[in-house]
Amino acid sequence: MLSDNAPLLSLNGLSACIGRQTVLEDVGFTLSNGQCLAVVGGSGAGKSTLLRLILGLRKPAVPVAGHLCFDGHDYALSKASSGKPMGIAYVPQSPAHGFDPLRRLRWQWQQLQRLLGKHAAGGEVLDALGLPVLAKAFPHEWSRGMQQRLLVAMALLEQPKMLILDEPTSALDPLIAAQVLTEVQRVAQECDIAVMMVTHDLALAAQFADQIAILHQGHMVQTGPAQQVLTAPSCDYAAELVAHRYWQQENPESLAAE
Amino acid sequence: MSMSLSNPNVKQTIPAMPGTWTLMVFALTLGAGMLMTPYDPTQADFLNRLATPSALHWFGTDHLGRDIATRVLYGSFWSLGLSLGVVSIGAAIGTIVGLVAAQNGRWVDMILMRTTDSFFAFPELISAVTIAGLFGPSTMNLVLALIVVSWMKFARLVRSLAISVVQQDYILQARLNGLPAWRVLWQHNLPNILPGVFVLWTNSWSRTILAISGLSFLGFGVQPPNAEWGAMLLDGKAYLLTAPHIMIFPGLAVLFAVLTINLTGDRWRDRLADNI
Repeated sequence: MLSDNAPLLSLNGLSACIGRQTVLEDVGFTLSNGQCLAVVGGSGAGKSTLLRLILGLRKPAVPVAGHLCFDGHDYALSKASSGKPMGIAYVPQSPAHGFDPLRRLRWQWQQLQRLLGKHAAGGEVLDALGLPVLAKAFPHEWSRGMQQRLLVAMALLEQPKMLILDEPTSALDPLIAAQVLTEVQRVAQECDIAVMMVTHDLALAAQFADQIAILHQGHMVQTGPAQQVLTAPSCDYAAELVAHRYWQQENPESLAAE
Repeated sequence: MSMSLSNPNVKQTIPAMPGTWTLMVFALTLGAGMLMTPYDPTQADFLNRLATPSALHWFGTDHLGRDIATRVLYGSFWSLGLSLGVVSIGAAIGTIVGLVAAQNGRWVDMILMRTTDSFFAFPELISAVTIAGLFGPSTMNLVLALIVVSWMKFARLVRSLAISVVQQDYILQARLNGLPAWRVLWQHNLPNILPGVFVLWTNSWSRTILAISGLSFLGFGVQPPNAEWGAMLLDGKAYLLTAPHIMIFPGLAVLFAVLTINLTGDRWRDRLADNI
């Protein structure tokens, strides 16, 4: 679904360090409306740092250079943080940390509605994700899959142009993860929302993403359309990731067919 | 209510029933007793000196003929009430210090925590005795001395709890969506920290009761003729062999108070075991 217009998001020359250690070096990519980009990399590759910097959170990494252009607005990442760019919504990694355990779900949802000034839009978003009306339930009374879907709903409530998903499946079992991501994909396509997901799972990225960017030790070693990355990995690390992407599944075709 | 009982997280915010009820009954009995007793806790009655327990004087009278039951009841104001105040102020100071340390950067954190460490270096009772020795024995100095040595445990606990809460995604989300920092603190951080603080608070309360009684017994705390359990033990010391009831009843009062509060705290700790 490549758009002809200028990209929704373009990131150029992002470098950052934590202390004296460089964690990201000259990272950049572009993302168009409605596209899905997966940033794939192992632990410590700099995925979380990248994500936090795009969200305008400087701690704990300090960006030394970089330029972000989102939806026509420029953000110089080396300057003091200007907060989260308007139109980007964030879906936390795990429902276990995504909800305040002491607050009822409805309270948390209504607080978000107040913050965003979106009192009217709530019902449709819940409907779109197949969620019931929020009763007096506490977070733990819902299943993980429903909690994760509600986290997505909370992000969508903002009516964003782009969703950022942090390790969307690491807290879920594979089936639920696939269901949640399918929902996200469907809603994103309906509403023309770009999705950037950060994951260590290349198989998952291959299934859902149009574009794949492979991050290795702070460098973006390969970016490109998903098929191209899978069929023609550009370096040893990418090749290894591609080769071992199905290490959990005995029969990769069964997953691909889903 | 039934829903919150079934909630493993939320049951932490409702009282641990049996222990808490015992404590409330204990407090109510003391309060009602204070209202109903016909005697004045400080009024001497030399005709009735050292009377043994009877229908008129349930716990007997002391060397000045004062009704011991009445003095035990009024003593609860000093022992329970004063210590409650001391430990609450200490908890408030410690909570603020801990939150500030956790919220702010490296330098503030380091300075506050090293200060906390240095306060830990003072042994509790000895610093209280020292302060009483420097500024003279009085209730006010006792309170100050006990506050000075009581806040550090709270500061450490709150800092560590706050650091773990701050890293949660719901805090991040709230901040990203523009919830002001003080409201994040008030609506999310504090409620998630308070259960842990409460357990330490009950624990410190009973320790403070012992400290106040101990210091009053040594003559550094609540001064005569005020009825404080430790001070009453001091009064009765000279008559231990001839009129043991003067010491037995205030001693039992300390025992029951500390035991009840400790058991309540234990129940709470069991319920919160996953959290701290």
